Amino acid sequence: MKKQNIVLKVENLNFNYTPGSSYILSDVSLEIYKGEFIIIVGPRGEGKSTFLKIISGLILPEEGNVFYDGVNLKGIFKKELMEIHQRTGFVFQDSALISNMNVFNNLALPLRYHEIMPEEKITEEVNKMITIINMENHRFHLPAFLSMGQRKMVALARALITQPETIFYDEPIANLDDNSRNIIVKLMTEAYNKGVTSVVITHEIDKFLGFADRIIEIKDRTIANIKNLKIDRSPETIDQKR
Amino acid sequence: MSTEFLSKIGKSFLKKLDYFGGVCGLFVYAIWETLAGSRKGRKIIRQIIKNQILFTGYNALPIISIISLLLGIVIIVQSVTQLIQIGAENLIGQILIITMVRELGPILTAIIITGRSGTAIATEIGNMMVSHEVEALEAMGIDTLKYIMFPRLIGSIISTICLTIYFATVGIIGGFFVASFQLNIPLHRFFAFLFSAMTMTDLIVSILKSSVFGAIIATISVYHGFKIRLSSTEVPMATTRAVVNSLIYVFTFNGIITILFYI
Repeated sequence: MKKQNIVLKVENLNFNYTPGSSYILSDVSLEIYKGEFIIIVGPRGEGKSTFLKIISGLILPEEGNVFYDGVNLKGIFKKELMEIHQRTGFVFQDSALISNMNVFNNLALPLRYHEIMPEEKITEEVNKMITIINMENHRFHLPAFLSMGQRKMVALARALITQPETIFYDEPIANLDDNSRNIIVKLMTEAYNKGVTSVVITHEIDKFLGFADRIIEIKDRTIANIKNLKIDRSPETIDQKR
Repeated sequence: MSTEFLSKIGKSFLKKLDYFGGVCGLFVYAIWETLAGSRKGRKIIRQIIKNQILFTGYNALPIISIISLLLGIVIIVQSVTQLIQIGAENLIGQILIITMVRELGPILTAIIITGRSGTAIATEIGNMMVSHEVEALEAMGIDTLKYIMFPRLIGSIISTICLTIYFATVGIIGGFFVASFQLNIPLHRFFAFLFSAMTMTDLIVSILKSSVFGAIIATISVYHGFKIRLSSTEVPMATTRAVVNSLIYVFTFNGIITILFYI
């Protein structure tokens, strides 16, 4: 693995939500390479979701450093952090769709806010994405009228629509029916094959074993085990995928 | 015993100072982030401001109309009987200006807005926090101060100014009806009393008060909404705190502005 390929670097991370209380994460260090598919596993309540939020820049650590593409997230200006967020996507465990916006507007929101493209193009892109997730009949439904699986698919589509270079998934296929699960795994696989760095918290690792690069086990507040499933992460391989 | 008492007072004062600092910080930071930050998202933010004005301003018109009309009527009914006895009907204008424009207009409008919109803002943001919608916005690279706080602040200020002007106007119309029926004061005389009593300072103070109140209500409500972290049971508590603190600050600043301009 070559050093220039590192997209995310965590250095001696310690984290607790309340100052003075015991650490949720203690002395965690990790490097994630561009285009990798990382699975994070571990018992419930061990800080996996917190870890994902820290490496994605949603929570800033008090102790230790997190670098995204060489930029230390700790201490950067909010504007710079927002620019990094624009380059990444996050799929929340509970979908976190904007409750007063229908499916179409939820998907259009990041495109409209960042003024990435004109409104006609946004409509086209959103409709394309709605077709991919097979939700043409739910285009104008609010999240409250969708099933859990449908909400997860919209959340994933919202993360994918801006074509991020890294996506963080927090339990993307937990408690879903087979159909929703298959669509989500297919979309995640396609994103990975396009070279998107993927960090996934899941308990259903068998769905991703065919292409995952590493499995990281978080246990007892730290990284207990890293299992390499592949070794070829050379820049040429990444470029070929892109 | 006395040191313990002083320590308690000191701690309570520091807590209040910390709260005031937090609210002021949120207010300044939201304006700074929006005006000095990236120009992206302005179209969406304009739309949210319009929606906020629609909810806080336009949708509050019926209740404002009823309260201001009845208040104008009651004030004139109560004062007219006294004024006739001392032959001071010409003070009608002054009474209406003091109550409707200077004092009761801005403060009652602020109370209504706190009850309607302040609670709505704190509840909405609190629920967004619990359902991770605020985090989701940040994950999309959307500045939540710019997207959530700023439009509510501007919408609330504009709505409070407009509703205060509307409140005073309707209240004065109510006052005129009673004055014309009970005292047979013709329209031109009524308005002559009114305009002779009104000064530019009254108008400036009214607009200043309403803009400050609008800013207080929005900032405090957003602040308490953002403070929610863990569960939906925090939402009603935060909403109550938002209302109580908004009212305390509204009344405090009302006193400060009145003292500054009229003493």
